[in-house]
Amino acid sequence: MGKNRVALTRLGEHAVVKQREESVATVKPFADVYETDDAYVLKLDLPGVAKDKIDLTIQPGRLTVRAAVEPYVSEEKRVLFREITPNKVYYREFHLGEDADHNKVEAHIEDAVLTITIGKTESAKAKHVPIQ
Amino acid sequence: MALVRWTPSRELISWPTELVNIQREINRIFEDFFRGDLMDDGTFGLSVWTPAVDIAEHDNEYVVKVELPGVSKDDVKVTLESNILTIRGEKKREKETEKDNYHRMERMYGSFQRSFTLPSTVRADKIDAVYKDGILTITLPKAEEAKPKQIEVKVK
Repeated sequence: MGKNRVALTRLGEHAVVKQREESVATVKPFADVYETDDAYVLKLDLPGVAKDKIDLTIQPGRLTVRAAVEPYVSEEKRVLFREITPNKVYYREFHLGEDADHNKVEAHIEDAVLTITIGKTESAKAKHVPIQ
Repeated sequence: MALVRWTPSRELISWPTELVNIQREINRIFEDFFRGDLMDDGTFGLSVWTPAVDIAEHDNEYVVKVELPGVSKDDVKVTLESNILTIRGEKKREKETEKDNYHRMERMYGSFQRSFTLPSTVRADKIDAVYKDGILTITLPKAEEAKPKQIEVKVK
């Protein structure tokens, strides 16, 4: 695959653009999901993603994350070693329970880790009962 | 052909030694497994993290990219020793919640180290490393003698 791509880049800009459109790999990012008393927290590793390239959509019962990685194909001269998928889109879908309040969602990214906090509905929040 | 008196005890001693060894080995494996060493000392599954690396060669430099999401740039160390580039560091787990509250735990943590032998000499004093959007980019300019040279040959 790597070899093929290098060959194509030599054919000129048109071929590169075509190649870019055709072979965008969809990658499922790794995620940690945990819950606190009043929220669900999702953390996703999105290396190579800039803040403005993330599309976070929430609707009742479903949350989707889509993030494009800026390809760096054209600047390469000769690939000596390759492990990073060069042209990819991160995509992942999460199902939300009825206790997730989709009006209370916050997200921020730091060092390519996207943190999404989804508040729980009032009735779903853990309540600490005082001992009489 | 000499007749040897059959002593059942000798057979019992001679051939089972193999079996005893195997038995001992199996016991050891089971003990290790059920003692929970693999799971509980916190290293299992953590030490296996190897961040993905790309290395590209340009005319005048090598460019190394490392995927390091969630790694603080202060926790990354890049060294060069006689043409061997080493990237080491640690991805620290954010201590925010009890393990019991986890629904999924896929992201990997822990220390990593990767070393690469560069194909030609680089200018150690001109190495540049930038961390942005979870990607560490190291630029290593080639030493003068390693750059491709265009030599004009006079045609007589």
